[in-house]
Formats: sequence, C-alpha cells, structure tokens
Amino acid sequence: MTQAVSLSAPTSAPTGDTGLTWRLAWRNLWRNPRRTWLTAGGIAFASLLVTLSMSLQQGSYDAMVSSATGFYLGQAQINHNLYEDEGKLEQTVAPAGELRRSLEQISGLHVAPRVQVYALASVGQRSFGAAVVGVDFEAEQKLVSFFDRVTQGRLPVEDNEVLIGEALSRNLGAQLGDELVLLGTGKEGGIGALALTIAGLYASGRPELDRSLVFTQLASVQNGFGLGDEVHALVLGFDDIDKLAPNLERLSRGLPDNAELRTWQQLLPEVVQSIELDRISAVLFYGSILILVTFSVVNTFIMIIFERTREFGMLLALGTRPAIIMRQVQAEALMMWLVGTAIGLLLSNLLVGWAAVQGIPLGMMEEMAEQYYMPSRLYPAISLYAMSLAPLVLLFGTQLAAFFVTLRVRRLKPVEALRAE
Amino acid sequence: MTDPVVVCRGVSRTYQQESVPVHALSQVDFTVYPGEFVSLSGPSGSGKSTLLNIVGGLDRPDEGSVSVDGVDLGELSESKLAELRLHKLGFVFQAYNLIPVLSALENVEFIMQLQGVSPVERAERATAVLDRLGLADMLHRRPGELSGGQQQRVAVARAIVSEPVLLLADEPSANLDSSTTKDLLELLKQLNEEGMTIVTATHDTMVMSYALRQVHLRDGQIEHDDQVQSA
Amino acid sequence: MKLLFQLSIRNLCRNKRRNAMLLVAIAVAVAGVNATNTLLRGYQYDMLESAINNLTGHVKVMAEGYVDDPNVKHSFELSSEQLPQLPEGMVVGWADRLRIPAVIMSERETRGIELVGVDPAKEDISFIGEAEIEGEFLQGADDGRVLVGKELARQLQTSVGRRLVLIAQGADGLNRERGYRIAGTFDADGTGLEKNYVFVGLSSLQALLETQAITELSVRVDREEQRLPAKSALRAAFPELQVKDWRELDPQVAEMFKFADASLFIWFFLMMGALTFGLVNSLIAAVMERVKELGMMRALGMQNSTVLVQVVLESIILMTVGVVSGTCVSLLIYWSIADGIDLSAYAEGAEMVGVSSVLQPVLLSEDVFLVAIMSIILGILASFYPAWRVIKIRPLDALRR
Repeated sequence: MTQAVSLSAPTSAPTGDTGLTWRLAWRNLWRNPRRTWLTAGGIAFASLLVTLSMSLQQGSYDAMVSSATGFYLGQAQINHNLYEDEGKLEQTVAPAGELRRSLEQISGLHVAPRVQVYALASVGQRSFGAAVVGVDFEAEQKLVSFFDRVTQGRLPVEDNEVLIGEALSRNLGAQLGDELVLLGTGKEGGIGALALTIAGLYASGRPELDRSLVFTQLASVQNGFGLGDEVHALVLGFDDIDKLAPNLERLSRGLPDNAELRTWQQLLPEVVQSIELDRISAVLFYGSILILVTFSVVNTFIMIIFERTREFGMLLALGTRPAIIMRQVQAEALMMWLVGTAIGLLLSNLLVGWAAVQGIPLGMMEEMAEQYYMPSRLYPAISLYAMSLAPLVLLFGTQLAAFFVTLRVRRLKPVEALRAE
Repeated sequence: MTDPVVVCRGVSRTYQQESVPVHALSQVDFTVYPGEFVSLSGPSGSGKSTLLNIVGGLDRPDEGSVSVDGVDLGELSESKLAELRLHKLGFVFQAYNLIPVLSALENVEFIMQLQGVSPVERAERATAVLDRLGLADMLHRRPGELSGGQQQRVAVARAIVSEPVLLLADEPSANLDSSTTKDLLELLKQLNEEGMTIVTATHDTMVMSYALRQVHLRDGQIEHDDQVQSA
Repeated sequence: MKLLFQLSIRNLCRNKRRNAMLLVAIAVAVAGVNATNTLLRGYQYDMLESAINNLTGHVKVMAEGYVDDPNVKHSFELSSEQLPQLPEGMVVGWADRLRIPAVIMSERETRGIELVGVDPAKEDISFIGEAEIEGEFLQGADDGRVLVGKELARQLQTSVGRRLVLIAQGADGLNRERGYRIAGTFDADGTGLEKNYVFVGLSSLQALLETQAITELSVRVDREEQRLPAKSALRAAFPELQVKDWRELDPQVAEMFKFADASLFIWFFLMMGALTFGLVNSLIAAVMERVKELGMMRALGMQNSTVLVQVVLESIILMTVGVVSGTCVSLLIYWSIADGIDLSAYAEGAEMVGVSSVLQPVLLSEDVFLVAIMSIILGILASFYPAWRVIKIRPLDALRR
C-alpha cells in the first residue's frame, strides 16, 4: 500500500548519494510512525533505564567510598608493614612527629596519628575488654566524622580524659566523671596502666564499636604503655578524595623501611568488593535488557523488509546493487537508534541532573544505609561512561539486527520479489 | 402480498472525501420483497455499493430509514447490528474474502460458531451445504489451495448456511472468469428459485442478466427499476 | 473456543520469523528475570541463614534488660529440660546459652570477647555446629575447655592445647578469673565471628559464675513464616521474659530481607517494561496485516468483543510459549550454577552485607509461577491497544483496504 509512494517518487530510491541516503532513511522511518515510535520507544526505555541506573550505581559507590573512608578509617593510612596481619603493640611507625610534619607539607592533606592498645577497662567492680585508641582529637575532626557523634559530655581536652561508647558505659554502669581504669600490657612486656576520667560518651551507630573502642589523648597512651614517638597509624585524608591517586607516589616517599602506605582499597576491601559484587549482578540485568531490546529491533526490521520486498525487487530489477539497498536499511536502523537514544538520554540526563541537585532520599533504608556506609540521600554521578555504554551497545545491536535481517536482500530474486504480496 | 424484507425510505448518504462532500445517495426509496433477485447496477460512484452496505447494516444513512425483516436498523446499536448481520443476513464479498488460515469447512463452521451452534450440528450443516455446492472433496483445503470459483462457492456456502432472510452479494463476479461466473450465477439462480431473496451490486452485465429485477442507479438516485420476466 | 484457539495458533504461524524473534525476546526477558531472581533469592536466603546462624535463631527468649546490658544478672532459669509445648513439627532445634562479655588473655595479648556457654549437642542450629574445627569440639555441657575462633587465636598468638585466661563478671557482680585450655579453633564465614565468640561448656561456665541461670533460649523453626506462631507460643510460655524474632533482633538484615522482596518486583517491571514495546509492536503488525480479514468477519456479524478475544488469545499463546521456553532456559541456567557461584574473590564484600562466600542460587517455584502469571497478565494488557486499534476501524473501511 505504501510502496506506491516511494515508487512514484524517483528521489526516494536508494542511491549512492549519501545526503539522499539519510533523507530517504528519515522519510522511510515515518512511513509507519507508530512502529517507529514503538521501536524507538523500546530503545529509549532501555537506554534511559541503563544509563540512569548506572549513574545511580556510580553515585552510590562514590557515596559509599566517601562515607566509608570519612567514617573512621580515612582515605589512606601509614602503618607498620606487619601491623595489619599481626596487630602487635610493638609494630609501630616512628618517628611519628617528624613524618607527620613532612606529610603536612602536601597541600590539602590532613594527617592524624593513632595508637591502639588492648586493655581491661574497669569502673569499680565491673570490667570489660576494650581497645584504647590514643588520638589527636583536633586532627581527627578534620578527617573523620566519628568524633562528631558525641552524645553526652564533650571530647577529651585534658590528658587524663577519655571518651567511651554509650554501650560500654551502660555495661560498665559508668557515668560522666567516673574514673575508668585501663590495664594492659605495655610495649616492653610490663604492665601498662591508665586512670582516666570519662569526659564524654559517643554513639557511632555501630554497636560493636561502641562497646569496644575508647579514646583518649595520644600522648597519654604513648606514655602509659611505654611507647615513644611511635604510632600504629598515620591516618591520611585529602579535602577531595580524587587528589589521592595522583599523590600516592609522593605519600610513600621517605617512609621508614618497615612502614607501608595502604589506601582505602586495601583498608576497606569489603567496600571494594561489595561494589564489585553489585556491578556483576547489574551486568546480568543490563545484558538481558539490551539483548531483548535488540531482538525487538530485529523484529521491526523483519517487518520492514517483509513489507518492502516488492519495492526492493523493483530496485533490483532496475539494476540497484544489493549493497546499496542494505546500506539504506542500515541508515534507517541508525536513524531509529538516534531517535530512541536521543529521547532516552534526554530523559535520563534530566532525571540525573535533577537528582544530582536534589538527591534521592533513601527513606526507610536509612538505618540500613548507615550500617553499610551509605548517606541518607543518594546523588547520582554524572559520568560519560555511564551515559555512553548502553547507547553504544544498542548502536551495535541495532546495526547488527538490521544487518542480519537485510542479508535476505542478497538472496532476493527480482522477479519473485516483485510478485510478493 | 407478504411483508417486504427490505424497506428504505428517503435514504441519503454523504461522504466527506478530502473535505469535498460526495452525495453517494440522495432521497432513495427502495423496497425488496421475499423471493426477489435484485441487481443494483450503475457506474462507479453511482451509489450502488453504498445502498448495498446500508441495506446490509454495514453503513448508516445520514437521513431516511431502513428496516430489514421488520427491524428498524436506525434503532440498533453497533453490536445489535452485528447480531442482525450474523443471524438474518448472508454476505458474499468480492473473491478472496475467506479466512486464509481456515479450511473450507472451518470457514463455513466459523460463522455458525459465532451464532452459538453446537459443534456436532455445525459440522453436519457445513458438510451438507458444501456437499450441495459440489465441494465435498474440498472440505479440508485452505483457500490458497482452491481456485477462485471454488473460493467463491465456499463464500456462498458460508453465506447461506445459516439460512438468512436476505443474501447480499457485492461484485460477486469480480476476479472470476466468465465460465466460473456462469457457474456461480446458476447457483444463485437455483437458490433464488428455492426461495432465497438476493440483492447484488454489480457492473457485470452477465450478473444483471440473471437478476429478475434490475435497479439502475446514477448520481445517487434510482434511474430506473425494471422487473424482468423470469426465464 | 476451540476454533478461535486454532485460528490464533494458525495466525501466529503465518509469520514465523517475526514471532520467533518475539519469542526469543520474551524468553530472554523471562530467563533474565528468573536468573536474577535465583541470585537475589540466594543472596536473601544466605543473608537470612547467616542472621539466624549467628547465634540468633528465628526466635529468642531473653530476660528483660539483657539487650542493653548483657550481664549475668539479666538471666533466667529454664525450669525443665523440656521446651514448652510448641505446635508439632515446627521446631527444628533449640539451644539454651549463657552469653556474657568477657576479657580473654594469652601470655602476650588481651582482647574483649563474648563468652558463650553452650550445650554442644544442641548447637546444630547455629554456625558453630557446622563450623570446621581444628583440634576438638566441646565434648559436653560440662566441658571445661574453650573453643576460640581461628582469627582470635592468631591475634592472641596461641594455639590448640595451650591455656588462656578468661575474666568475666559473676552473678554477685564480682569478677571471676580462670584459666582454660583450648579444645579447638573454629573457622567461620568471615573473621567477625571468629574474633567475637569464645565457646565453653554451659555447666562449666555456670559453675564459674555461680549461677544456674541462662541468658538466652534460641529457637529455630522449619520455615521463616513459622517464627510468628512460635513467637506467640513462647510469649505465652515465658510471660515474664522478652521474646523476639530475628527481624526484631537484627532489624538491618530484616530491612535488607524485605528490600530483596521488593527488588524482585522492580526487576520484573523494568524488564517487562522494555519487552512491552516490542510486544505491542508485533501484535499491532499482526492485527494490521489482517485488518481486511477481521473487517470481513465483523461484516459477517462477529462482535467486537470476539475480535478482542482473538487478539488477547494470540498474545496469551505467544506469551505462554515465550514464558515456558524462558523458564526452561532459566532452569538450565539455574542447574548450571546450582553448585553455587564462588565469590571468594569478593568474599569480604559479601561478608559485609551478610552473605557467605559461595552464593547458592535459590529457585523458588512461587517466584517462577509469579513471573509466569504476571507475564501472561502483561500479555493480556498489551493486547488491548492493538485490539482497540483494529476495532476502531469500521468494517466497511477495513474491507475496502
């Protein structure tokens, strides 16, 4: 029925003229607008969905990394090279003061020293095991959010003050102002002991930490447990985490032989790996959706070729080479893809742009989000990779679909094709 | 005299063709009595098909009234019209109007299925009517495996199987050669002699020659309406 | 109906290539959704299993105040060795435990841990019952040796057969200190458990703390839903005590669990959304190429509703075939990964979200049926538009085409 249009208009026959090929492809597309819209709609839906969720995924990974590193562990740490495996008291980095000063020369970098010893924490008759962490509270606050979570009292100021978790204080039956006695083993094997006043309580949201970590001044722990100018960790963090990678070489320069630099990827392998795990399961979903959309494009092109068999027969009879007809169909597939992805990307960019400003509230999952290092609002990442991967796969898919279907044109006998219904 | 099968009073029908009004029928009165064999003829655009369609309940007049077997079509909803077509009218369209994926027998059965006839009775009646039209050997062939004349016979079988009060045929001889046309017309004549009322729209003189009443239309009006002596 | 059904089948066979492509698309969608579901369910069940195994059980009975202050004072005595009557066949197992915070010391190191007094015969309901043990498992409730995690042993620089000192608070509020020999070390999924728990015979610990009481009674039921009746029954049996199910005890995991349920639907609708475009497109083509034929049938008196039935029927048949083949493909996928997907390279990440390192896919027949039914419903809905398109064309116009 529609063949007549293109037969009567000599300009609509495929030719070697490129400009004409495109014009013709465009017009052919709108011979059946509903079908074109539905096919392009499928392409648009798939590219919208995949680009949008990839952006959200990337955004959630970024958020995860930034809140995980900014919670307690920092973006990188300098430790004794056996400390991670063995965690022995004597496995320290020294001279800490000097190292810290030289690192602080790097612009945008904050450095916080920590020492950590295990001790029996007692208030009166009650005792619990705890890890005593000696820190520089001022430096810590520039690096991590952990010390913003004081719920009662304040951060220690004096050398004999201590900050403990709410859970531990309940277990110990302790209150602000009570004396906390810490008893452990010192560096040289002797007894390490500290008697401190509880200055503040914190609730980090992670009960296992609240029960086991107590914080006091760096120097107090160093003195009490026989450590000199030594630390177990120098916690590092830049204003902007993106500065970490380019500065790695500089950070590890001039470290003592027994010290090593570990980045967040090594400090928080579980974050890296849960990102990987999520990425893998998403690939399954994206793969299926792109494959099925490609098949609907194949379907559309089967219809197109089928209803234009007579037209193609006529063109072949007139002496047009099959390659030119095939090129024409490929051009139509390209146009179809262009319409679909343009719509999909437009919507996706609008949504991503909007969400990047507003943030998507995670609502009921907030509680969960905290435990898995997530903030309460999710901001999608705007990246070329997320925006271009699905469209490129679809471009390949649509071209392949059209190619697969148009192979038939080469087998077409003009006379039979002309007789086709 | 018996009651008429079809009564059209002052029927007019105007189409908008690319915003130009075309008066397909204007103020036509047309009555058909039981047992008549009427041919509607006239040049293209004379209104013969429009009149046939209006009588068959496929189209509605802009003015005037139509009743078939005493039922005023103007009063009926689309779905009631469909029901009327199903139970009271038989249609034979131009050739190739069978369902291509169903066999001859199934094509005939299909209409009875829509009427709610039981499967056993359906098969019996369809076989009987196809047998009578000389298609006994072709029951299980699909339309594509039948000649044009055979297809049209199946169409007639389908039209008469439910014993309609009126058989309508729109250009029944289109796409048929003259000898198959003759066979078809002999069949219609025979049906008419057995009491079937037939109205056909045609521009084929051979079809007209078999009709007992020839109505000629021109520009949407009846030009002449002649009773022919039965042969 | 039989004839209509035949008609639909034959119509579908008219355009084999096109419908074959559509079937592949439907099958990919269904297989994709099902495969994703089995992984998601596997993940969800694993999460549940870890949560339950982690000394939680489906339902737990504790003394008031124990959660806030896990102290031997917040304990209770189980009157007889028999569990109060629960509906028949529901309970898989139960265990009474005395669980308190303690300090553990080796010659070189000190750590804070949770000391758990158990009756080893009852612990087949928790992770420790199936953990790999180096050395020996506890021999009975009166075994006066301890079982420590591999990681803890490493940190304490000690090994099987050596001695450790444990300090814990007794019922009188005073600390008890006692030396224990290590019976064995256990290897759990993830070092978190290994670092946190030290097991000892229940009676032995009770003797040390001078108490007859326990701090918790953990009950494991057959199916997750049964936790609710079990909870009510236990509430009636222990009116003085706190009875909580795992969802209350581990709200984060419960939240994740519910979230996984919702994800199943989200995945389905996104995938099927993409499929709908192709489906509608094909159905429209299928009816539009038969417009004349359908017009003729309507001229003969076929009702519009019958046209709708025909189109719907074709869509249902297509969907059914697609769903069946997609389901077969997903079964093949499932069987090929039924042994589990080794996530050990990503194990720490998996541990963080509470799953073990081998992800065992779980195929639930309810999910497969749900996907099948919802797909077919979608097929029905998707056929309305094409049917409406063809009904909108008057029979007379359709015939003229």
